[in-house]
Amino acid sequence: MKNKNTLKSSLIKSHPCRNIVLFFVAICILHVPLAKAQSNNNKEFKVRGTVRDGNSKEVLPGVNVTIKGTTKGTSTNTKGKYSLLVPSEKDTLVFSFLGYQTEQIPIEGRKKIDVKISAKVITGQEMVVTALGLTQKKEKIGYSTQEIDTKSIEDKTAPNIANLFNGKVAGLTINNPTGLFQSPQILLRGKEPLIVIDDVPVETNFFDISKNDIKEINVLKGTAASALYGSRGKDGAILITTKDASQEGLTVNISNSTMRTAGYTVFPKGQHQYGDGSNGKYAFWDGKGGGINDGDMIWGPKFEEGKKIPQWNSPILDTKTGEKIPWYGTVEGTKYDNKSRYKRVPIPWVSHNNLKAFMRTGILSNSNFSLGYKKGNAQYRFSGNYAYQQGRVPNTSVKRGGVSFASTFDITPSLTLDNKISYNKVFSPNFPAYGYGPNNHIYLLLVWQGTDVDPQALRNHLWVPGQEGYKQANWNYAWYNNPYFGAYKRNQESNTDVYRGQVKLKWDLTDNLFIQGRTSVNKRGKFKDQQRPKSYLRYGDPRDGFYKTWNTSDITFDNDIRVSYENKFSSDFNFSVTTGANSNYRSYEQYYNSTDGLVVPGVYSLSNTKRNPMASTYKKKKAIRSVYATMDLEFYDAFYLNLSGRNDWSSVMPKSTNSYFYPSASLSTIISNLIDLPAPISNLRAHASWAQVSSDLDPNFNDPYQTKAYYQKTGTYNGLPELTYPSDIINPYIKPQQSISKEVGLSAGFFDDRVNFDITYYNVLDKNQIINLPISMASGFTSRKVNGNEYTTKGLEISLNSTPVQSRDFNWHLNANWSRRVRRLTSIYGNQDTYNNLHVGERADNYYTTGWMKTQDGRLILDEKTGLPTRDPYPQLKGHKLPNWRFGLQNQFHYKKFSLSISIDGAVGGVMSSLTVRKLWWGGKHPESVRWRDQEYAAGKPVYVPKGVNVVSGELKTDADGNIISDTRTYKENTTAVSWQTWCQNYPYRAGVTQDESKLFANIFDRSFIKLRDVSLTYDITYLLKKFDVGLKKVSLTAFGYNLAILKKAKIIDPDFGNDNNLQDPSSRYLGLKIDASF
Amino acid sequence: MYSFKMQKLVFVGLILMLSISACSDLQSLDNNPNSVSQTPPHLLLTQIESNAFQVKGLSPLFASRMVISTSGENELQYYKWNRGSFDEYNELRDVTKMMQEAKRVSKPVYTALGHFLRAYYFYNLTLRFGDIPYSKALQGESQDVYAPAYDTQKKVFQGILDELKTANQTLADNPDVIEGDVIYAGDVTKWRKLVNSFRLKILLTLSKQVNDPDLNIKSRFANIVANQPIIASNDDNGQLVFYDQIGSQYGEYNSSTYSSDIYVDSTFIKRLQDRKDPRLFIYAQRTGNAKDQGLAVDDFSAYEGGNPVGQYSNNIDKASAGNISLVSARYYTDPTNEPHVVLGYSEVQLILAEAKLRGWLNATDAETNYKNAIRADFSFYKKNAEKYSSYVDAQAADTYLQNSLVKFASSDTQKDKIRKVMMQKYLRSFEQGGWTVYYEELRTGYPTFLQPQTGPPPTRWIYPQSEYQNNNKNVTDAITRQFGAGNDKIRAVPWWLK
Repeated sequence: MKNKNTLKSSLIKSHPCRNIVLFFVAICILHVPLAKAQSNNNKEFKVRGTVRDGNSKEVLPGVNVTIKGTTKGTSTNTKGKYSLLVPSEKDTLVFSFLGYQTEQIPIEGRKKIDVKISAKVITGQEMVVTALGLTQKKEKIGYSTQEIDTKSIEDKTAPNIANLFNGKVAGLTINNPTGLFQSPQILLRGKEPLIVIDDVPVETNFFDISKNDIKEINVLKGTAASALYGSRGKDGAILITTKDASQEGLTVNISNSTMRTAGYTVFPKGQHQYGDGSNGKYAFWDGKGGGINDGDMIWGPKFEEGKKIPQWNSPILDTKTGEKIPWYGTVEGTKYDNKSRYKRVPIPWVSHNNLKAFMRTGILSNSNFSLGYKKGNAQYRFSGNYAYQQGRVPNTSVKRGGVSFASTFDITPSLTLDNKISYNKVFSPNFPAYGYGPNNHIYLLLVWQGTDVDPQALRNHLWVPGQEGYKQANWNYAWYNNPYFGAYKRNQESNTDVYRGQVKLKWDLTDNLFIQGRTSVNKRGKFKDQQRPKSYLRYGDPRDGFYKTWNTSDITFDNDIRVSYENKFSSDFNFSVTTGANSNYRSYEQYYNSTDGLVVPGVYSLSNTKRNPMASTYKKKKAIRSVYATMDLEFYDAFYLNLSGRNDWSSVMPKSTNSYFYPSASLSTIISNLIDLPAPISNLRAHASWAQVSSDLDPNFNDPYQTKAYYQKTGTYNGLPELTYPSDIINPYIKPQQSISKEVGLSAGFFDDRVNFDITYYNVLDKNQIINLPISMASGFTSRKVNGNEYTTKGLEISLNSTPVQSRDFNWHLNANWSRRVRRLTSIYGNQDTYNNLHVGERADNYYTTGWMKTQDGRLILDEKTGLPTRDPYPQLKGHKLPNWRFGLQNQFHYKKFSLSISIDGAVGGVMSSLTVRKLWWGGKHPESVRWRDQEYAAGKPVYVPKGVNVVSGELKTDADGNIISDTRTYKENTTAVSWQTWCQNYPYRAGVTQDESKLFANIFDRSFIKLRDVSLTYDITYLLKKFDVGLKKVSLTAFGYNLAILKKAKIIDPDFGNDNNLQDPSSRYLGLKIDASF
Repeated sequence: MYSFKMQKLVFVGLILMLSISACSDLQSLDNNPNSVSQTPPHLLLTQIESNAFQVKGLSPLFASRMVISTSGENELQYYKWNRGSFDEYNELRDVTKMMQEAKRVSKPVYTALGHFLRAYYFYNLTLRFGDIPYSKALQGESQDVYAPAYDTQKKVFQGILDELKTANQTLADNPDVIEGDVIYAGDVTKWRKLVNSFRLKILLTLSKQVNDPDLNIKSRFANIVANQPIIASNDDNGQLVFYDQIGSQYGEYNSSTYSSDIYVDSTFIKRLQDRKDPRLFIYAQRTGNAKDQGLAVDDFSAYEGGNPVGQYSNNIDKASAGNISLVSARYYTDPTNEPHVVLGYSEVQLILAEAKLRGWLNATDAETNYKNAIRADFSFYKKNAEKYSSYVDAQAADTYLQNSLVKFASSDTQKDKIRKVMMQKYLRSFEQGGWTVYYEELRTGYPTFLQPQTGPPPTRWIYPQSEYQNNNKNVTDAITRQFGAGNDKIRAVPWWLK
């Protein structure tokens, strides 16, 4: 192991160009001894026929017709006809076509064989798109890939396409935030994969991609698959191939789907028994402590029939005249701010459904059309899409639209011009703000508003009477905004234009050799603004309104030239090699402008600034140049070996280390082609791969300037500029970081491939990681950049593809995925024992957080006098964050004209900390926080006695590692009662409590869940409309649902969100209808 | 045919290789267009000063029995804190860089200010913990010292006193222009006054070590008073003035917490009431009930505080009943409020008064300094809390000085007089001077802070978790040396309090 590493590192150290030369030499050497083999045809025999679609009866061009056991074959012409010379009458013909089931038909002496082949229930497993846009037979690939069956997502809609990828691929995790315009987080084996569209790496949040344009999605796992995309592909890749016109003639497709929210899958419920206030008491005066506990908290009076309390929307009573004046919000700054004359009239103290009343129905509608035309040597596809999403938060929406055009044109028989352009716009006139703070509706409504606050009054009265434009009407003026005021008067717009274009010219020099050049450009322009009205508050921000704008522009050029050579020498040996060069250039600019306060309310213009406007610019650039080569060798139809290598030169590394090489190798062995296997086994394949990928300081283009230290401007003080120096010590000798991955897998097909089984084990060693190593703050710095730490990830992925039932009328297809992954810190920089909280060998996802002091046998220690616990100065381990395993199940049923698809996925094990739950306890909105209130208010003194022990004598001494030096403590059971409010504001709030420690007070949950992700039922009504003869090829109707149901262990939150560090919107259930027609 | 193809392939491949590996101008992309890697020192000075002199917020007010919280058991209020922070070293990073840049452009005046700021931050750090990294600190970038050794507290104090002496001398020798100075607008003389006054403050902090032969405290103190310029009026105050612009506003402006769950401490209010101290009207709001009853702002009975010890929910009851005073709204609704004084005339006069009472100076007129201090503080608020200026004018100060609990009585012992001096330090420290008054209580025992059930005011903080992780050996050595193994506790007694 050691030797291997030294060899590898010496390879890295040597000059990169030498490696390239070596690589080419190797290719030449391998090439020389090969001779072209000739096959012997003795008594030839000609078979011809037509191939049709078993369903539509239309002819199928391009179907592969081969003789079983050989590589000899042909394909059908544009009329679906084929003719083929066969060696013997006893041979069998194999008809295969992408997306169709392979048919094997013995010739049995016939000269004309017409065949109908049927579309696969699941699109073909055989051909997949791999790195560099190459289409390959899956069985030839020595590394792990898995397709997302586009059919399985075709009839469904979700707020973001990526939401539909859940559970479809073993090892691919999608975290699904629940708010409007929140992007899903996509993780492949725990890392962020590169997204590649038509062979061009892109940056996308999937809002700017139309599902209707997607032909295929293939997930290349691990590093082996994507070593050829350069360091950006080090964490795997999701390859998306867009549609082109594949069918001869003109095809028109239009579809529309519309879905609406139908309740909630997870709705966070707060308590509805007690309102705003503290210690059971409340009365509104100024909403910031001037009344009775009207500044904060929901520990107020109980809702009871007939109870009346002065509230924020109470009318004002003039005690002199007896006049009643309707009023909303504070009276501060008006003549009514005089308690000797005016009073707020007590009004009924009743509970409302604030959050539910606030959230409206969400709507998502999607319209698509496409027009494809193929004739002879030219094909064109034009498509357009428009989607409108109405958010659940009032006054929020997202509109998306785009057009794309793709064409392929054979200029001469050997020269093909391919070109794709698309334009997409993602526009939101206003979208909600997220995160923990008073501009988030969840913060306001779920956590910090008592249900005594009447939502109707809040909605109908946004301003304090007479102070329109200047002061919002609200129930609180210390911490919170009126959520409707936020929704209607605070506005943020986002407007993104994405242009993607590529031109590809392919020149077939000979039958075996082609050269291809591709150039592509991706441009993203984004305008964002924020309009904040006067009196809107957010923590320490100014409260006299502002207007802020951000203009960003992001452009990527990706150019690629490659030469590919392929030769079939014999049925026993095939060879192909591709070598190329790539250059990738990115540039990003941001212009920010802001007012400092507003003069005139409601005018959102930079010139309406009260004080000096503020502005800044930020620019960054990055380029990577690469050369690469990949070689495929095939032996005996059973061994497929791939070797590849790439060298990058990156602009974001120090000059001495900016060149780095990375190789990969993979081997696939089809055992079933080598030996005869027992009958049920129709196919058996083993594969293995090894790859090493290096990457630079800034693979994600966040901060390309890290090889030198720069002062940062922090602002100005009274007009004088201020600079500060960064806290990380840079390293001018930093080297690229490396991931070395090893993978072995076994695939087996049973019962004529009715059951396919795939198992992959992988081991990834992340070494030389570029880390900001924490150092003593007394050094003046908090960290320094080093190459260090090794993480070892071991994972197992299993997938099962089967067709349990297949008959004329009824099919059932089942796809199951299971994955498990554990990442450990296996070595620390400088052979240290610990890195932050982690020791060598520990799980990297171990969750350490502040906990309560406990006895050595785990009992909670409470102060004898106050009854309260004490925080442990050492962080405590509360579990690991990643689940033990994840799974996904897709069922597809077909019965005559009906198809039903059901997707289920989930995760088991792992923990998740919930900010929502903590804050609910603190504020008094937690459903369980009602438990002891009545008893305590009745008794007039604390009655709740927490379970735990008091220290009677002795003390604990620990060293700087937290190890116990001596512990002489003795204990007794706690008998001190604590105010229930005090307890709830401490124990479940101020430190982490797991479900094991307390079921009732837990704020760290088991993250296990099972989700019914989506269901769709499609009815093909083509046959009903065929008789009208309007040229309809296919019409179908679909009813579908997304995010339908969940089983979970966590309380209040949806673990599918991924985390609960910043509050969650309620998790909405969607139901919808889709119509799809092709002409 | 075959070899022709081969040639073509190799040919194309070689061209590709050559064209790409000529990686000539990649490096030019690596220049950051947004920021600089060198700077004139004054751009750092503004940043450092505006941070160093910023108001310190509520934390010291909890520990010093000036405010209480009703939103949870506040660890500072209940004397249950554990770990302290090394954040000052982040500020010291900029100080270090400023001194490096000053050296680069040969502007020793910034080096002198650097020494003052180092002394200021190390003084705060050593009082918080005891031993700290000092002589080997801040050398992460320049000397690759990533885990600096700890110096004894005595060494730290000796070091910072020397640095201040150097600072004073350098400023005297180089009365150059200081740009970017938001404290004294470049007035070198005032800077010298601040530096020397701070030396007096540090020496007084070491009053328990007055007989240490290495420190020579008394003669050093007397020498500075006799021969060096020190702060002589409110105009010389080392203070930060605030402006109504983003980034230049009073640190507590728009802070929500004041108006919902922070109230003034009953012991603080009581002490102001007992002395009929009008500064109460500037610090606190009348209780809800008092306002409803129409009691005047200057009615001492309109104010009531919250009990800093016992169950905090009792204070919620008090708040519910409208019987508790919020902090004055000007602290969180006025963007400029009042300047924050790190060290000013009033405090210097109290330092001199105490030194005289302790016999450090050949003078007995401690009462003059004492009266100067009170008058200076009244005039500070008269100027900076305009709405309340009539309560704290010269006449009000005279009346106040006649109060029996304020004025030096003939029967007062030296100890009684020191108590009065400490009480005045305390009463003037609401949102002023950070932790000064807390440490003064630790040193002198005055003005006694009410103890919760958890025990007396802690004498220090536990070292940060990050030091346990990233500087384990040195911090362990420091703990063992000072308090014994495993005794890194908040009531362990550091050298300066021994």
